[in-house]
Amino acid sequence: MKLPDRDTDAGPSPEAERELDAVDRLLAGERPGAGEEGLATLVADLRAERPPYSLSLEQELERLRENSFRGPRTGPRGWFSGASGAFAEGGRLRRPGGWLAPAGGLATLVVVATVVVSVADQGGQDQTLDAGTFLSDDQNAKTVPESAGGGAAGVSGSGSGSGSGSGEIAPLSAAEDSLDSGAAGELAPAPNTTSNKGERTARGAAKRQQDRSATVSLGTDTSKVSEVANQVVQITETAGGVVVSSNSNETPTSAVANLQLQLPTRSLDSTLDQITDLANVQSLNEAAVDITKPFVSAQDNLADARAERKQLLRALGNAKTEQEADAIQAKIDKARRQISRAESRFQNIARRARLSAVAVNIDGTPNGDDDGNWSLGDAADDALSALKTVAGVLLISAAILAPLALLAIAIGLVARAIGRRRRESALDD
Amino acid sequence: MQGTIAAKAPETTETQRTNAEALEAAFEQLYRSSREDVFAYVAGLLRDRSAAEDVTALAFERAYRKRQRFDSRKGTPRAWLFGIARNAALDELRRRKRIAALAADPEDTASASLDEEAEVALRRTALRKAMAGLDTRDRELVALKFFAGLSNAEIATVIGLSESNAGTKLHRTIEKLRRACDEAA
Repeated sequence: MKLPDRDTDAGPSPEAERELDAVDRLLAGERPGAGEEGLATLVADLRAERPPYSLSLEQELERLRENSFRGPRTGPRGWFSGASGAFAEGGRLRRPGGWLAPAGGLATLVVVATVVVSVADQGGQDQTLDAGTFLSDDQNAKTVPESAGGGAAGVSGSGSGSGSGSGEIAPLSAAEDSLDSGAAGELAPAPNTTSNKGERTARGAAKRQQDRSATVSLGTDTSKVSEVANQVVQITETAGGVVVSSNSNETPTSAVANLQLQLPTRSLDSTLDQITDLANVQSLNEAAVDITKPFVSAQDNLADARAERKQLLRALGNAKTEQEADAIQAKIDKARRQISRAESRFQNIARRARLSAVAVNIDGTPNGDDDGNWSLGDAADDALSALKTVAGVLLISAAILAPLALLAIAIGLVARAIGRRRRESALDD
Repeated sequence: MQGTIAAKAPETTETQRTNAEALEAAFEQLYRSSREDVFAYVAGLLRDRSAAEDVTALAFERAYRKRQRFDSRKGTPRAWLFGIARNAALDELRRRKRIAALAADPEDTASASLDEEAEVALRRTALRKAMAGLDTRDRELVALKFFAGLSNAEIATVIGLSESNAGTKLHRTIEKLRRACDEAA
């Protein structure tokens, strides 16, 4: 940094320039030109006034030079010991940062590999956990005991069953065995049939009447709960089902929707497939109770009641006395009531076989639409998020450090200027 | 030195060693060619041989320590070295506050007078008187120009002025000396 010139003239005059040139020439040993004798004398006298360089000083400087100019690799460190900080043994310049690039690359590779392995492991664990959760839900699922036909002769509605918990489809043959081996007139519970998509239909179900139900929990982003609920309603209506009830609750940070559906049993599987495709499936529990026997029983009771009524009507036509006719009429009335009850019972059980109750719970959380699997998109999102974080940190750091740096620079410049002025003040008499 | 001090990006170890050796050699050359001039300048400025010897040694020590920071774009190696010497001399001046108190070295003055003819002796005496009458800044210019032999450009670099302004100041100082000598004659 140059101090501002105190004299702001545009430079020496032509005459002064000539004299300065002459001084340079005279100092270089040239002969003086015409009219330069006086200047030559002055220059010679000034040169003669030059302080002589003493032998003692030369010896002292040489001694110091030998202790330093040879460098630390060949001689002892002495007077200039602090000057060789950049030198390593053997006189080679040391570059502390020379190994940083490969080391940094290696460290980066290790970190990346660790992250990849960790994420892969985590993904596997997630899948295992999912399966475990699924199994747990399956095990917790309770089989609803069939008691609707309790009024029928020989049918009692007691007992409860538990799912197999195996996560596999329980073959209905087991239910058949249970039915066959059960006490006469007692409805044995069928095992739950919980399975993955495409495997829900139990074998033999077409020959049997089943009361099926399902509970689906879906997770999605808070902002998408309403949209998913609407799609569930649409799917239900398309499948010929009905929405029995629905309610939703939304807050700024969460949203929940619950829907109770009645879906046609014949298309339950495909409809559930469509519903589970709408969002992340947090849990899916399905239960199936074999109601073949009560179905058949109700059907038979109805047929028997109708046959009895028909027979009574025929007997009424053959009645010969009024007393006999009144008695038959009373039986007909009783048979009519039995028919009515049997019809009601049959319609009830037929409806259970025809329609399945499905509960859909939609839970909305921030970023709840994340399926937990680490995909390329997730990686990009993570990278973007990391970049945002880094940028934020840098921005905040810059916001803090920039003024400090400017202040430090300003202070440094001022201190330097003050120091220089102080030093220059030594020249002021 | 020739700008080799500024070499800052050695590519290989061999190049580093070569640069380091070149740096050492350049500094050695600068030391040998400038040590007498540095001492003359410092002694002319301080007017104290003992202090000048200390400052000269200190200046070379500092220069050696900072030799890798030399930037040839900012001037010649001599100008860089004299800048360091000047700072050391000014620090010494400030520390010891001997600018006004010190007189010219009596030993040199006496030895010079004895061997010279009367006219020369008178002229030299007048010159020394004139120099003693100069302020420190002007005396520094005389030391840089006539004792150390720096060019006007190098002087400008050392004292932190433009070359033209340094030339103007130098010419004014010469005029002062000339007038003072004429008056004394």
